[in-house]
Amino acid sequence: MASSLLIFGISIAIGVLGSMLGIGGGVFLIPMLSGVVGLPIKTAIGASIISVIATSTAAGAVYIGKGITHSRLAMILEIATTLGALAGGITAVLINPNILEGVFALVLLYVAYTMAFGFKKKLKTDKASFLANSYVDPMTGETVDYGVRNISAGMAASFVAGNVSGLLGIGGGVIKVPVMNLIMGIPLRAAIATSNFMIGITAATSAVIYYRHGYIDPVIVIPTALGVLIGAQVGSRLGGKVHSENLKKIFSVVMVIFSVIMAVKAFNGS
Amino acid sequence: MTNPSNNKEETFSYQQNDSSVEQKNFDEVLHKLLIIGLALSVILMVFGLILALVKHEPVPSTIPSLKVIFSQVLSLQASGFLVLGILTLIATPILRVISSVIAFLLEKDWRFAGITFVVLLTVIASILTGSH
Repeated sequence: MASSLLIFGISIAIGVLGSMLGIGGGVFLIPMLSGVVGLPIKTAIGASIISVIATSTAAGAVYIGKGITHSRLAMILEIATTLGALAGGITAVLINPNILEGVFALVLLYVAYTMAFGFKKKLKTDKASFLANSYVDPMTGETVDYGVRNISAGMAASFVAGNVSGLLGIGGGVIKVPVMNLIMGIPLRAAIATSNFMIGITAATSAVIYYRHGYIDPVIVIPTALGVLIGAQVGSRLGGKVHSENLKKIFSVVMVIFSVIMAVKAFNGS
Repeated sequence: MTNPSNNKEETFSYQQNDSSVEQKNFDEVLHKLLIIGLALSVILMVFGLILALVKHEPVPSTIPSLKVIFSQVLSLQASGFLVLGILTLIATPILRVISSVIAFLLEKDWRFAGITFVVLLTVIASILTGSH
């Protein structure tokens, strides 16, 4: 009972942070459940994938309600991300997970640096004007118009994000948000909301496979899911009150932490 | 962050009126769906927890077959509700995609009906994948 309450409490916090940043929280939940609470990795992954769906659904309802999510762009990118999630399972068998984790750690570090300190390169612009959109910033009340660029790069990145999701049991938001913001030219709030929307179906694609293989343990999943659902209600609203620049910084810190966790995992061979 | 529409470098026009109203209506459908999925799974899970507490039933460690789940629900066993709540959560994004396909077909938006259909096919493929 005590450990269930602990898991519930941690999940609320993860739900808040994850939904604020457009990620599912799996990047924290898995190390927390397997490393700190000491659960078997399969159980941690199963709980994580469900929590990603929970965040996506709960925060998604808020973000869509506020008109910040670019649902059409999400649906296009979902083609790539669900294919990636499906392939993720197949890839997992073929490639040494340690190599994957190591590479992933490096990629995350690079992206964290880019998010924190900006891009030097001038990007190509292949515009997709039919995807132009706008939203009302919850903090300033201004309407922000934006266009979407580099869809092909976005698709490729979404595929990778889906792959990673299927492999590691996370949502893939850690890749989606930076790619949408830095490469596709989408303002951070919209990128967060759109990523949050996408991770639901990405995780569901993997969840059905994990469910089939007995990864889902209700004893862990129930407190996790309920905690995350509560946290996501708070985080999706709280995020709107935080300045985008600060969200970026928090995001970079999260990525660095996660890349360190990944690097440690890669070296330990677990 | 704001891209003024008279910026000479990026001359994209954002479609207003018709397609943006359609988009807002569609988003409203998605919104309601997510809320329903969320509410349903929470109600099931919380009800299951209450049952477990009141009837001193344990929370299961694995998910049984659908047949077992439904018989448990019918006999008001906590386990059935808890597990059904989890499955409802997993089903919500999938139902969202299915509804999108239908909604786009009804709107005769073939482009996005096709896009969401491809996503649906991929999810179905993953459901059918036995080996992992």
